[in-house]
Amino acid sequence: MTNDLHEHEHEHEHHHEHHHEHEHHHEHHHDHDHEHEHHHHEMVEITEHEGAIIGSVKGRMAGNDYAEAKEKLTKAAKEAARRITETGGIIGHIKFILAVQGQACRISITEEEPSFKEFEGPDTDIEGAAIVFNVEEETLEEILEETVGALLIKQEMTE
Amino acid sequence: MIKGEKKMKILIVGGFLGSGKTSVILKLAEYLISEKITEHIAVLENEIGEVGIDDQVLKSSGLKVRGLFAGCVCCTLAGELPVTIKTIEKELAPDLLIIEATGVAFPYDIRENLERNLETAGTILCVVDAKRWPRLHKPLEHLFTHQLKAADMILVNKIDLVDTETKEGVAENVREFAPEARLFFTDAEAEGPFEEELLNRIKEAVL
Repeated sequence: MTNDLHEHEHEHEHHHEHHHEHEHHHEHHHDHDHEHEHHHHEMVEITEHEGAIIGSVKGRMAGNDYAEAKEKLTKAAKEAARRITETGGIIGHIKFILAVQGQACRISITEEEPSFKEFEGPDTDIEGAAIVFNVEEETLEEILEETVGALLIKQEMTE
Repeated sequence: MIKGEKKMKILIVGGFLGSGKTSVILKLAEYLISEKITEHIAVLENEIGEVGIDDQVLKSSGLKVRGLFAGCVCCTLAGELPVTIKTIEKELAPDLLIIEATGVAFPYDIRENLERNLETAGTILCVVDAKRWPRLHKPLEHLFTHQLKAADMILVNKIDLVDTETKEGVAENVREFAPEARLFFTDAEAEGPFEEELLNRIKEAVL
């Protein structure tokens, strides 16, 4: 094990490089004290961490056809990836869990083409996140709203 | 920890977003359980997004999973980490706890937290995406520098997606970031277990 506590004691730049603001746009309840910048907007929530811009998405799609939902979500996720790359952004990952009536899959994109992992589904519909770099928060929000967000039944993101 | 009980081992799995951390964990867990090296494994899944993704995949494979979301246990959720680990130890009593860090975490900060607050060490295994490394290591150099620092093992993963020259180039470059770490080439999605030397290292870390 290459571990030396004392060697690392003076190297915690990570902690000192945070410049998060407390900029909660409306009341936001968490049971822990973290310091991300939040922008609530419909079903997409944007946060920032260490230069990474994180867009979290949660919601329900209309219909109950798993294959059709998977196809639509995949297409939307690919379009989001294309637009992020087009704006000069770097995709960390874009991941969504889709679950429809017991069937579920994880759709994951790190470049252009998605990969899929099928499993027996939990009681959810769509949950996911796009974690990207070099993209404005507003741009990511707009992209997710117009791609994956457009598939969802309109309701406020619940916490 | 109750006196006389076997101490829970901790494996910290770090690495950039999309590098294959979850697949590596699934493969390692399958091996450790099937070979009866470790009887009870729990996973602490940390995701930076507001919603959990990989925890659902891990749970579906039968692993006991606890999630910490909307922050990073190396920094913004550092205070919650020791408490969560103690709860897992009490409620799930695993022999091995695997912490899957977020894709932007600095694993050495997690280990330092464990040592400071729980008086326990953890082994750091980092995963690198062989395909994306050549394109990302320059723009994300700062992140990778801190992510790979102090790694005990680094898996250059997804080698099925690159040619031999790229694979060797990535390994050479990764070694500059973490000269002390032991490097292994892996394809976590492939059938069958990882190579023997890697598994032996893992066994040493978890026993």
